[in-house]
Amino acid sequence: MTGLLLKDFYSLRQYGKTMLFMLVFFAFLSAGMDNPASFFEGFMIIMSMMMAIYSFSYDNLAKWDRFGLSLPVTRTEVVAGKYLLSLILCMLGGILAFLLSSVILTFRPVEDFGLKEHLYSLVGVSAIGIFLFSILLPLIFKFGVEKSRLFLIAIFAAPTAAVISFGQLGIELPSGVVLLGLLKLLPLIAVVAFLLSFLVSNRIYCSKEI
Amino acid sequence: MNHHGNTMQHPSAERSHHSIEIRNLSKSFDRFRLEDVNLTLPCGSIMGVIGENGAGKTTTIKLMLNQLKANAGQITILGYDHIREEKKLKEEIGVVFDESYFHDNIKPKHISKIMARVYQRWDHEMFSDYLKQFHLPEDKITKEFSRGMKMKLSLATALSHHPKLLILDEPTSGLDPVIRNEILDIFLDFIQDEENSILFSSHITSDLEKVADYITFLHEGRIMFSESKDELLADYGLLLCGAADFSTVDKGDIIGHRENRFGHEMLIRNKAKMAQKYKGLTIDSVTLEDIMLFYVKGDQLK
Repeated sequence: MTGLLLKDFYSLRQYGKTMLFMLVFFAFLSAGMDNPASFFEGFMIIMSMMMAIYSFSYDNLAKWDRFGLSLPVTRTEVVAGKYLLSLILCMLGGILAFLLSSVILTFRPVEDFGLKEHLYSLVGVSAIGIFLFSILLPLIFKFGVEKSRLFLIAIFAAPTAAVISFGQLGIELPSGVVLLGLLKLLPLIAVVAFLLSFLVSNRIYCSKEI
Repeated sequence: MNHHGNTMQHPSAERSHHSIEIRNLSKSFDRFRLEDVNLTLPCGSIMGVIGENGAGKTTTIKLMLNQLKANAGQITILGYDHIREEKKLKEEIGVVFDESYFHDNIKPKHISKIMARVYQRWDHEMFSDYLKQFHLPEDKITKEFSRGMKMKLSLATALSHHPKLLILDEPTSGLDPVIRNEILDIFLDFIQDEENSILFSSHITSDLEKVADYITFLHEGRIMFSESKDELLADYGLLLCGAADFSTVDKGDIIGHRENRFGHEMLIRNKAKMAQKYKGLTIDSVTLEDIMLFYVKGDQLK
C-alpha cells in the first residue's frame, strides 16, 4: 500500500507546488479579513483534500487501475491507500495553514481568539473536510471520478442552499447553543463517517470489474 | 468445484509441469460470452493466443488476473488458485498490456522506488540494467517517451522482480518491426530459464510464429484449438483446386473455404492423409494468419 501512496505523491508533486503558491496567496488575502484563521484553514483543507480527487483523475487518465490490479496489491489496499492519502493531505493542508495563520495572528491578533480557539477552529474545519470526503469517496469508487464532479459540487452547495432556503421558508435556524454542541460532536461524527465510508468504498471496489 | 483433483492436492508437483491451467472458464456479458475455455501452458514454453479483436483474448487475461469475476471455471497459475492466493500469485508474474499505464509525469527512477514497495523481490539493479539495455533515460517523465519506449519501460518493470510467468496482452501492437523484434528477443531470453513461461496474446500472427511453442485460437469466445505450433503448421494445409475439381472434394474435409477468380482455396486438417485422398490436387502449407482468416472469414460449407 505504501507503494501506491508513493505513486500518488509522485504524480501529485507538480500540483503540490501550485498548492504552495496558493497557500501564500491566500494567506495574504485572508490577512485582510476579520478573522484570517478559519476561512484560510477551511479553504486550505478543502483544497488539499481536492488533491486526492486529482489523484483519482490521474489514475483514470493513465488507466492505472488495470495495471495496478495486476500487481501484488489487494483491492482493499487500493481503497485504504486513497483514504490514507485524503487524511494525510487534510493534515498537511491543515498544519501548514495553521502555522501560517498563527504567524498572521501574532502580527494582527483577533479579540477572543487565542491559541485554544484557534485549535478548536482547526479541528472543526478538518472534521468538516473529512466528513465531506466520507460522502464523496464512495461515490468516486462507484461512479468514477469524472461523474463524481457533479456530486462534488452538490455536496458543497447543499449545506449553503439548505441554510438559504431555511431562511426563506421561515424555518428558524438552530440556535447558537445547539450549533456549538453540534460542533463539539463534529470530530466524532467525522471519524465514524470516515470509517463507515471506507467500509462502503471497500465493498464497492472489491466487487468492481475493471 | 474441484474439477482438477491433482492440482488441489499436489500444487507443488503440478507447479513443475504447468504454469497456467484453466478449466471450463465461462463469463457472460450483455453481448458477448466467453464459453468453456480450457487451456494449459507447460512450464518453459511460450503460448500465443490469437483471435480477432473481440474474440475474448483480453477477457481471458482479465479473468486470470481476477479483474473480472468468472461465472464458472477454475484457474490455477503457478500452482496458486487465482482468487484465494491472488497476492502470492501476483508476486511471481509480470504483466504487460498493449499500452503503458504509467502516469505521464512519473519518471523511471520513481517507478523503481514505487515497485520496491510493491514487490517483495524488486531488483533495483536489474531494473536499471534493463533501462540501460533499452536506452531509456532514468530521469525523464514518461510523457516524453515514444510508444516503443513506453512498451520497453513496461517490459523492464514486468521483468525486474524475477517473475516466473509473463502475461502479455498485445504487447507488440502498434510497434514498428524493429522494436517488435527486439521485444521478441527479450521474450526468448526470458524463456531460457526452463522454469519460466509466457502467455502472449496478439493478433500479429507473424510474431507468434517466430516465438510461440503453443498456439491457442479464440474465436467468438470459444477456443477453436490449443495445440503445439509445429504440429499445427504440419497438420493444417491449404487445398487448392479449380471449379471442376471442387465438386469432387468431400465437404466434410473442409474447415473453411474461399473462392477467388483463380479457383477454390480450402483449409483442411490432416495434410498427409488429404494428400493421399486428393492425389491430383495441390496442398500448400499454411501460416497462422491463413488458419485464423479461414476460420473467421471463410465460408463454412456444411
